[in-house]
Amino acid sequence: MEYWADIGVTILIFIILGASLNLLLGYAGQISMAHAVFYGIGAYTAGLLSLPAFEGVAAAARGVTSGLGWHWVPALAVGIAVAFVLALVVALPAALRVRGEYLILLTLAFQIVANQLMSSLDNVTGGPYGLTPIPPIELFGQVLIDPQKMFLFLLVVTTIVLAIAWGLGESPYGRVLKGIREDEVAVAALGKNTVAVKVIIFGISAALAGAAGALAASYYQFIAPGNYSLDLSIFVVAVVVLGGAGNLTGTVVGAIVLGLLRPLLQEIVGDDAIAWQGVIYGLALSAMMYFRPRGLVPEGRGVTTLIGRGFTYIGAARAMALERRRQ
Amino acid sequence: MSQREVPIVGREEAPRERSDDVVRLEGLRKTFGGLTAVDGVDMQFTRGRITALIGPNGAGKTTIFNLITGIIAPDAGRIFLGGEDITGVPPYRIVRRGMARSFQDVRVFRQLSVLQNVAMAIPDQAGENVLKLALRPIHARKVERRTLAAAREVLDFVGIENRAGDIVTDLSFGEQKLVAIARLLATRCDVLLLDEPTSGVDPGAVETVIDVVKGLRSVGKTICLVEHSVHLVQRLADHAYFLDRGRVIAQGTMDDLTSQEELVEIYFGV
Repeated sequence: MEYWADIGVTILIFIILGASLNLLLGYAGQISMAHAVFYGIGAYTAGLLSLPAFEGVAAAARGVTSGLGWHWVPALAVGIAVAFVLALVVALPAALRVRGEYLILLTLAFQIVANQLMSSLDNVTGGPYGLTPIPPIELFGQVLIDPQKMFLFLLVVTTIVLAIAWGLGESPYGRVLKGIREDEVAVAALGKNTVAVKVIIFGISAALAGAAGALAASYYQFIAPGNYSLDLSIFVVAVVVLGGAGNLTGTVVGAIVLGLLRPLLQEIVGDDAIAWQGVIYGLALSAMMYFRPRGLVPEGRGVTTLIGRGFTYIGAARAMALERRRQ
Repeated sequence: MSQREVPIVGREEAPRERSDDVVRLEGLRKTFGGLTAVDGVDMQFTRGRITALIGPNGAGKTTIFNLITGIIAPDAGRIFLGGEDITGVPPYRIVRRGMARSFQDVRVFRQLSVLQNVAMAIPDQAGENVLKLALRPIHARKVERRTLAAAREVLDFVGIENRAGDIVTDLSFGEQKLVAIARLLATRCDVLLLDEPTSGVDPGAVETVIDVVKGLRSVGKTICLVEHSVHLVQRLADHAYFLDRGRVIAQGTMDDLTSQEELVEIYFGV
């Protein structure tokens, strides 16, 4: 049970990362390759703030950075704020241009540089070995180290994040985001400041990823650069695209499908699973491009689309039966 | 044909200076590489009148629209809107000052519904601001209801209210042009620039477009249109500028222009 709760925690984190990226990628049509790094920035910021303060001999003996010993709530808040502000700075140069390629290149560069810095700045970040032990979250007298408790807590957080994403995506603001995705020049020609909108959605997306990073760090009690690599950024893009860009239900489905892939493979194939995972990823994404280019749950559809046309047929059959009865 | 009633008359605050020449271009010039697309153009668009830009392909008509609306920057010259210099002002601010354009190739938001396309153009929406959305959600929702109602009204005005819920690409090209015009009207701008509003539109819809444009003139909007159909310009325009290779080579009423043989020659290349 603990094992599956732990997988559930991972999937919930993927859902938060996917939903936040979907706002940017699916709604606004802006591709970011740096989502993992913003997840990491939240983790490092909150981690450094909440790490216990070692002093004197203890600190020297550990040979690692000492923290400030903050409570997890303000640490989380600062982690979110830092991710938000850094994202604004990163996005602005690309937002001034209409063509999206600049953002892809810029975020790719930021992903690589920032991830490298997490290793190189070892007197701050602990270098390749990372930071530990990040204190776990304490809530109502419960220490959220136990996977089941963390799962329930994250379930609430994920619901809040999905509600925020949905509220933004389906609001007039979300309408402008979709407009930018379709034709940015036309949106500007209607009197909207598209540069500001693009920068802000990038910031919000990164801030939500940063929140996930901070919470995940206190669950795993450990932060290291390898957790925030380009692989994860690509993985989150895959979650959004596979699930259905512009559809949050799709993101939930995408995160569950991709999140379950490794554990299921491990059950079936055993320890060779990791090697197979790459192959299955590749095949799945290629198949998706061919059969369902708009994702498992395309924009504007509900989860019932997943079950396919089955429902449509049942509905049609019922309607016909009703019609016949009426005659 | 009965006069259509225009639902949206204008923004609440009137422009400070009520000169009749609402838009004035002075010595406008733009070169792309070695090509001079617009070469020292002077023009005025007058309130309550329809001004047409005509001329052969490549005469610089659309480039002038792009310059006036701030999409591209001129190499030289000044653009005035209601007496204020708007040269170098970003496109979205020019719209907020009361001048908006449509595009030749419609540029509708393809995956959105007709209603959403038009709603996007309504100005001053609280729900487009993340902070207001978060802090005053109920107010934002109220504004959104008004926005959608206003959008429906504009759609009704151009005669496609019945398609409001459809995805815009499910409409015919002619209907999409009407959506683009509705979107333009929804900006509530006083100066409207129409780039080939009837090209590719079926004859029935052309009459609707003519009707709509005349209705807008009657409520005092300043209209400029680029149009290939001489016939249509004759029916609509009060004043026309004839452009060739980036220069204004003649201006006057359409009757003046079409009576000049050399212009007809340039236009049709005979």
